[in-house]
Order: sequence, then C-alpha cells, then structure tokens
Amino acid sequence: MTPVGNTALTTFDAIVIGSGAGGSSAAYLLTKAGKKVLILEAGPNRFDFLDAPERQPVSRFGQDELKCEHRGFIASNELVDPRSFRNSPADGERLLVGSVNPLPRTVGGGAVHADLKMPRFMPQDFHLGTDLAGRFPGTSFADWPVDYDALEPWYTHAEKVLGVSGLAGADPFEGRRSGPLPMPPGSPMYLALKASDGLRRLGYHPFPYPMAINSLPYDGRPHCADCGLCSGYGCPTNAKGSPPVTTLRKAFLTGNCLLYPETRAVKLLTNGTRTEVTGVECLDPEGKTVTYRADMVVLAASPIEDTRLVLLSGGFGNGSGMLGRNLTFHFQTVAIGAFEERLHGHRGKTVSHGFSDFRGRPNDPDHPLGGIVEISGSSGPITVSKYSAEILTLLQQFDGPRFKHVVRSGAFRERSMLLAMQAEDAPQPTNVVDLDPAVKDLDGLPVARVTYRNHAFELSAREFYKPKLLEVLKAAGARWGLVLPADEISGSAHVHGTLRFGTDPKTSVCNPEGRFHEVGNLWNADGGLFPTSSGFNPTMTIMALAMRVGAAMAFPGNPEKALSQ
Amino acid sequence: MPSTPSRREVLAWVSGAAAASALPACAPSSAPVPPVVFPRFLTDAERGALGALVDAVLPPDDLPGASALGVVEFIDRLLTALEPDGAPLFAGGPYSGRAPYPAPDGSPSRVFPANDFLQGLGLDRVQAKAWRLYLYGSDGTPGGGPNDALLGKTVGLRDRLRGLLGAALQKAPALATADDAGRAAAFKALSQEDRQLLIELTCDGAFSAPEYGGNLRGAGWALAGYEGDTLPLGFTQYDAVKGALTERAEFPMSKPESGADPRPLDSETRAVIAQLAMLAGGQEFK
Repeated sequence: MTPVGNTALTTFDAIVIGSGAGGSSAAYLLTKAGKKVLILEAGPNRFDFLDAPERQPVSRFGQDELKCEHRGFIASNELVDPRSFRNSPADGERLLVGSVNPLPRTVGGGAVHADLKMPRFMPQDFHLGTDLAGRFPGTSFADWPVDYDALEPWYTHAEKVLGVSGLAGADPFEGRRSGPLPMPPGSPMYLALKASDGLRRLGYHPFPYPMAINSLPYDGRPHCADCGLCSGYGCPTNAKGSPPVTTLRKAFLTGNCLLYPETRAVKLLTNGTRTEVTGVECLDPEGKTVTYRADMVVLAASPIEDTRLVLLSGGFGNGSGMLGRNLTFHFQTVAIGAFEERLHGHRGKTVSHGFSDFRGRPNDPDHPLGGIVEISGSSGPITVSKYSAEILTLLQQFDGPRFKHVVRSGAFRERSMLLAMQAEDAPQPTNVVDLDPAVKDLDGLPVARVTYRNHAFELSAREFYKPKLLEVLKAAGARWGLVLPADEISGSAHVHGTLRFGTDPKTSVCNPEGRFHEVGNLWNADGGLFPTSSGFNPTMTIMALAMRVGAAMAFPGNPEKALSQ
Repeated sequence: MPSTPSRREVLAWVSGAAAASALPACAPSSAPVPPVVFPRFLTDAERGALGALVDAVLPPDDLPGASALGVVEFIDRLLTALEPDGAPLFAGGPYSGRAPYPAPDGSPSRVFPANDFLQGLGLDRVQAKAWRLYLYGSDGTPGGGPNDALLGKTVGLRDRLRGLLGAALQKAPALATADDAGRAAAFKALSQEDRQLLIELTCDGAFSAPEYGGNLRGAGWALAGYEGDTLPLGFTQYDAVKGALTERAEFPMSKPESGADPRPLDSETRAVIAQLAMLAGGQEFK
C-alpha cells in the first residue's frame, strides 16, 4: 500500500473517513482553503500518479467485464464483509446475510464505478416536509435545512470541478442555473434517439443526461470514446470525472492532503463527555491497529458505514434517537423493451438521455412523485449471457444449443432498451441501520444490519407509472415490453439518510452545516445528511453538499467565502 | 475431449499474436512473449470431464464450443490463482493493445498501446481473505470464515468442482469423449446449483478478455457479436483538427447499423422473448 499525496505531512486539521463522492469533495474544499487533511480509505488505490503534478493519472481499470462486474475488483465482498437484512423486527434478528446495498471499496468510492449521471435535484425536492409531512402514516418527510437557491452556487461549482456535460435548460423541470454547463452533450446513443422520438410523440420531454463525463477534452483529461463499459466500471481513459482524477487530485496538488488506502476506520475515540472526537482508530493494510488524530473528523464512508462506525464507537451524538433512521434508497422501476432491430446499446456511456416527466409533483394525484427515467441499453457479453441462461432456466427451456442460439442472436444484448425510473423512496423512521448482534466481518467486528420495508407511497407510484413506461417502449418501436418485478431488497446504489440534517436537534442528527448537533468536531459529508431521497441520481447533490460542508468547516459562519477563492 | 487449446496456443494468445483475427479493424501490438506457465489443479481426467460439461452449456456447432474457447484452461487458472506462480485474478489496465490510439483527426492510427492486461494486479488484505475463502473454503483458510459458527462453513470452489467432477465421472467414466447427447445427459444429472455454477463459469470464461485463458482468439466475443475491448480508439473520436466528435462508420453510435442484419431474430428466439414477456406480465405490442 502506497500513501498518496504529501507524505511529509504529520499533523492534520481534519481527518476524512472515505474518499468517495462526499469525502473527496469535502477534502477538496478543505485543502483548497489551506487546511491539512488526512483521508482514510478502506479500499485499495487503482490509479497511478494521482499526486503527480507533471503528468496525468493512469487508471488501472480496463474494458474488462470479468474484472469489474464478475470478480468484484472494487466491490465489497459478502464472504468477509457482509451485511444482514430484515424487513422488520418481526422477522427476528435477520432474514439473510450477504450482499445488501454494498458500495465499492476503493479510492474514489462508488463514484469510481458509477457512470456519473449528474442531474441536480429540483427546487421542490427540498421542501417535501412542508408538502407531505403527516399525510402518509408511517413516513417522516422533512424539509431540508437548505433550499435549492442556497445550494445552487455549489452545484455550479461542482459541475465545473468535475466537468459536467449536458444542455442547460433542456430539462423543462430543472431549477434555475447561474451558469451554463461546462461542456455540451456527448454523442447520443442510437437507442436514446429512438426513445426520444417516441417520447416527444407522447408529449414528454427527453433531454441529454447531464454527466460528469467529458464530451470534449477538459481539464487535461480526454473526451469520452464511448467504449460502452461505463456504469459499474472504473474509466480506463479518465474521461469520466470520478473523484480520483478530479476532486482528490486537486486536493493532492495543493500539497495539503495525504491519503492512506487500505486503511479501515473501526472506532472513533472521544472525550469523556462524548462531545468531541479525539482520534480515529484504524486497521492498517496488514490489519494492525493504528490511531490518527486531528481537530476535525468527517464521516464520508456512505450512510450505512458511517452509522456503523458511530455505533461501533458506542453510539454517541444521538440525543434525537435518529441515528441510523430514515434510511432511503431510490425505488427503481425498470421496464425492458425487446426490439427486432439492433440498437447497439452497448456502445456509449450506458446512458445518454433521460426524461423527468415522471418525477411528478407533491399532492398531485395525476402526477405522483416518481423520478427521473434513464434510457439505456445492454451491458457486456458475460452479464447478458448469464441472464440469458437465467431466462431460459426460468422458462424451463435451458439446453446448450438453445442457449447458444439465443446468445448468438443478440436478443438480449443488441436488441433491448431499458427504462429505469429512480423514484422517491419515502423516509420512514422504522427503516434503520444498526449493528447485527451476531454477524461479524473478517476482523471480528459486528456488521451493519439493514431493517427496511417499502412504503405504499412508492409502491403506488410504481403502479401508476408502470403502464406509462410500457407506453413509452411501444412508442419507441419495441415489439415486446415488460416491467421487472420490484427488488425485494433494494439493489440501488443510491443510499441516503441515517444522519439526517436539520435545524432541530430533537429530530435530526446533524445541523444545517453538516456537523453533529451534539459533537463539536464531527461532521457528515455524504448522502447520510439527506432528509429525503428526491427522484434524481444523488451524486451531484452529495458532492455539492459535501463541498458546502467542507467550506463550512474551513470558514465557520461564512462557507460561501470558499466560492470566491 | 474436443479440441482443447494447447498451452502453446494459450501462450500464443497471451502474447497478443492472435489478436488480429479477433478484431479485423485493428492490428495488434508486438509485445514480447512472456514465458508464462501456470500451475494446474485439475487432473487430466477431471479436465476432460469438465470440458464435456462446459460443452453441454455452450456446445460446438459451426462456431466453437466452450472447451474450444479455452474455458477449461480459464477455470483451472482460477482454481490455482492463489498458488505460487498462479495467474492473476485481476488483469491490469488500462489497455489490452488490441485497438490503436486515434490519430489527431480521430481516425485509427498505426500506434498501439502495450498490453497492460498482462500485468496482473494484486489483492489487498480483504480481497486476499475473500478469495482464499471462495477458492479453498473455510477448512483451507487460516481462521476459517468470520461467520462459520453462525452460518456454517464455506465450501471452497476447488472442493466443490472436484466433487462435482468426481461424481460425474463415476456415473459416466467416458464422459470426456461423450457425444452431444452424452454430455447433455451428464449435465442434466447435476444438481441445479451445480448446473448454475457451470453456466456461470462458462460465461465468464467464454466471454472475458483472452488474457484470463478463455475466449481464445476473441472467438467468444465474435460468437456473441461483440466487438471486444476497443479502447483507446473506442466508438466516438475527437477530431482535434476540426474540434468535433466523429463516429466510426463500421460501428455507429447514433445511427442504425449499416448493412443487412447478420443474425435477425428467428421464430425460436421470438418465442423465448414472447414467453418471457407473458410470464412477467408484459405484452407484445401490435
């Protein structure tokens, strides 16, 4: 394991736990403001030269489906690092042990494997408490303590840092922008153009998806060559603006940042009154215990792991009783269309277009709150051949010749279109992360247990939009269409809540700046803060919010000062 | 066993020398041939039986079956990956050398990157433990699995495959030389879990990058109609002279495929899709 950054640093203003979308963004802002930052990342580093000013980083990813999708190159592993799951305490201690909403474990976190779809949230997404609280029993809708206007300058800043391509104003439902996107959209995918034609005929509004992927050379990184293996893959060319080559690299180049890979934070040390964090106990790459100290500590290891770490440390800072509660994902509804024609959906960025018409409005029965819809195609031949075999097995028709015939036809690879709606997942205080009483990880530490059940709120929205998704597929020219069954355990990598921020310490864990109400130097800078999930991919909002958190740490009371630096 | 590739053939592929036939649009790099010899776990008899079973999953016809694609070699490399001199579990990156760099105007240049896939990447502490458990099981892993007492021991892939192949050979000692019907019968006699395991390993081996030991000469990709890894050229190029994006005519991004469909859907495949749609509550659009 080789540290990355300025190895001469020995004292730090802040420790950031996790180097993904949130942690890297907070570190970027802190180091830009002159703070000395130590980043602790549990996973390995798969880039060279991240801290080299004279040359661009080299990715050790590749167009390698086996490595990235089937051998878990950067994935958490359920054999040694599992989670447990149940729908409610009535299920007993757990229903299963295994892979439960894991995020990648690598320098750059989940934002390395994501294809970095970067829509902003809509202005209405920040005040769903005002609109919906008390209307749906069992839910806990709450307003965000910041609104769209307060976050807008941070959105604009993050879009520039990452390099977002797209077309401002193309989504008629988006909020106001103070500036254009840094780059125009990249090459459109053929299947997206077909879908867009159908959508327009139905009166909907498709648009080029905003993505942190270079459509043109930008910030020293090349344009995207549309290799096709994007979502689920680290980028071989660095055209994708993932944290290692954007926020983290910029932090390293200040000289104020050091990152230790393969270093797992396992305990937060506190003072006697548990109002200050005094150190972070870790396991180093060999599994030996080591402690690091700084004035401030930032949790950014994902909402589930952040909560787990606080609970492993005794569960402090929880006077509200909200720690670990209000866990949300995105409730995904996926419709698949099968075409006679070849759509070559494996060429591109996984997604080039989407539409927001199904996001809906609060309290509008004609437009219930769903979410943005991504238009995509197929993935690589290993994945598609495996699910082709699954389909034939399901139909009790698997035999070798038929399987090979289906694979050769490209039926499920070249001729399919997917519509994936990322819908609002109603927050519920009973959807919670805690520690499993018996299941352990490889180091003997209790794993996170997820207790989660969908609410009728999102289930009814799914039923509302299912026929409309099929209608879109038909309009696009599909011959067959179907909607996949809903996940019994959410498969979404969009994870939010558990450390909800708000103005009232009685109902929230963190304050509007992202600091724990009850712990003076402990902050959160990832999706853990989200009071509600919205219906849009969360990474842009996580990064904008985390930059604002970093700025609030560097410039107490005046975070906007960081924007003028 | 039908036409399992020889080690010489495997090494020829690893050198990159066979790449030209896999991707007609590209020429290979001329990387030096590394003298690679990987350890084996399976006996010759076991390899013969495994070849027959994976050929039951992906049988030979006018195109190669799984064993001819190198799936047996792929699986044996997986089983010995943690042995001294074992093959890497993770190929390197970013490029394989099968596609060239673009020229300044975006067209394919004559310059190819080195094959970085040959430089395997190591495992961190967590991955090392996980792969040890997966391949060798709780009994072959120091300290066992973290939840053996609660969930039971993990059975390693090596033991699982050896048991599966031993049972298959007991039922059909001449399995390695069986005909299509014999291979299919042996496959059908396996448990659902074992059939699923072999399907997954076959797909992994037949359609992964050739550096892992399968997909010889890119023939698995060709079978699936897949272009293979195309970077650094890719499907969209940037013409620095004109300052505009361009596409490759033979592999369009935003336009329909040109030319006749070489593999149009037939009635058999349409029937599979239609049944799936009906089973899932979907519909056929008229």
